Amino acid sequence: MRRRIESVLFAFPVLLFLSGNAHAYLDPGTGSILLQGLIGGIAGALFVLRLYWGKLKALLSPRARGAPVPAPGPRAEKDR
Amino acid sequence: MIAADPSSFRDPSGRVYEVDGRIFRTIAERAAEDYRFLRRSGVLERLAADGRIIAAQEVDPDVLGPAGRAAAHVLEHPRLPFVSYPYEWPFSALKAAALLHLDLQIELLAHDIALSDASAYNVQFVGPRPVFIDLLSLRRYREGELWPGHRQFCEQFLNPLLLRAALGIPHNAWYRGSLEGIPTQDLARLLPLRRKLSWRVMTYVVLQARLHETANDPNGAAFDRAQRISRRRALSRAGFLGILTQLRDWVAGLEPADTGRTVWADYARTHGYGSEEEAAKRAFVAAFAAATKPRLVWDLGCNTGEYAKVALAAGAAQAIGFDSDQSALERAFARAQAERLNLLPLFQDAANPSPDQGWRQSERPGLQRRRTADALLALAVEHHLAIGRNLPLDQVVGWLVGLAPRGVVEFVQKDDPAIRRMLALREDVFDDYDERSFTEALGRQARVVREATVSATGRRLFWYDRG
Repeated sequence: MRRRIESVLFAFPVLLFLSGNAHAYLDPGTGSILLQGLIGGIAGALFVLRLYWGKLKALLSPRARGAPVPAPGPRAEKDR
Repeated sequence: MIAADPSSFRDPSGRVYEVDGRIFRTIAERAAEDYRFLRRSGVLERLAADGRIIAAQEVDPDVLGPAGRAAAHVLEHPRLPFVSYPYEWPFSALKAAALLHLDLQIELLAHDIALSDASAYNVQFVGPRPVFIDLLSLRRYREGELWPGHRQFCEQFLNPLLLRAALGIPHNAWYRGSLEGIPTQDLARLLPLRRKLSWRVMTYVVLQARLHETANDPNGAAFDRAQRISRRRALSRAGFLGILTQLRDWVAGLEPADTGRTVWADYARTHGYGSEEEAAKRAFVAAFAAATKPRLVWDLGCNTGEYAKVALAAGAAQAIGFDSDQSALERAFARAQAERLNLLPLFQDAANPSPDQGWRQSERPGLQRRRTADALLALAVEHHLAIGRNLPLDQVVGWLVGLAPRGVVEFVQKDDPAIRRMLALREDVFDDYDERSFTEALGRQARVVREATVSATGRRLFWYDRG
């Protein structure tokens, strides 16, 4: 009996928290994970395209011919 | 008994200790393999050499007693002159910290190293230069893994920057009240439709907020889906790099909506010359700094950092500036970067300084507990507090003098145009505000080494020394 009362006393505040905003306070970043799942492929494709576009430009530009292809990343991007 | 730093408790991979002013970091057995991988890569030395990551040297574990012997490795870091927090950084500092974080991730990925989180508190500043301080967040990259710090990066770096860039609202007050940063859902609710029409805002703010809401779905479908994505390791290396470089491009182009891009040009135009009065003030500050050679100066009410620069040129080793004016802070930060000054300008309201907060109210110590300066500059500050904020003059003087053992404090006479303007639209209730009350309060705390009148309106500088 005592155990039952205890479990009810314990469950009540938990239920209070759960109702309304179900998992908001224990959410491990669901939104971020779902977003990465959604955009990862597109971001990857764009990244590869940009990489090859950079290589193509380097190949076609007479000045840079023979020079090493810049690595992707901040150092190779234009400074804003 | 050697106790861990009160802000070092989250990561079980190790702790930070301070012993006799030296800073140590333990690396627990569970993180030892990652650390050794990192050490073998040789990238740590290179990043430490160009100042982007804090230097570390392995030391004898006995230096920490039992805590050291229980650890797999003990490292010693150089001590930072002052620890600051993202809610104190001006926009440009937060932006510099965000870019450092992304650059490190992009560069480290080439060495198969990833960052386990994206806490803004893992970045500190030496002058205006950001330095990454948490070696324990660096670990071996697992092919296909998701970016574990993505949400944290958005909340602690991207969203606060967007708040200012899209809406012209400085992040500092909100961030101070919400130490984990600005929630994406809150920012999504604030942004007007025309701001949402950019694909980046649509993706990283609107869509992410919407996806977050689906996590509250009572049947848990979204949660299960997230678990599947996470287990499947569904983010390719190119995808990870794609997200990182996209965010880097975005952050690099963000500017405050209220002050704009022309901060530095504007500064140079309006501050290229100095009046006679400014020259007198500069000479006084230079004489003080030359005689006292401070290790660290706090410049309260630093404005664009002009007098901090004078102190640095005259013999001060480094300076932290405080101001509550966002555009002045931007100018000071730009000045420190352009002129390579060892000056870090920070947001601070002297009438309401950063409090002790976070877990057990000791995770992020307030300004008072971070008093590490050996000299103070408080020029044209006292009247903003005593008259502007209705604070008793003797308390203002007592507080200022308590910040550092010696310094220069300016007193502004009541008939000065600045005070007349302050009182123009309100009742003058400051019967006791005069130079005699000021010098009496100062005399109770310190001796006056030198004093001088520096303006036609009778503004006076006092060089005090508590010793």
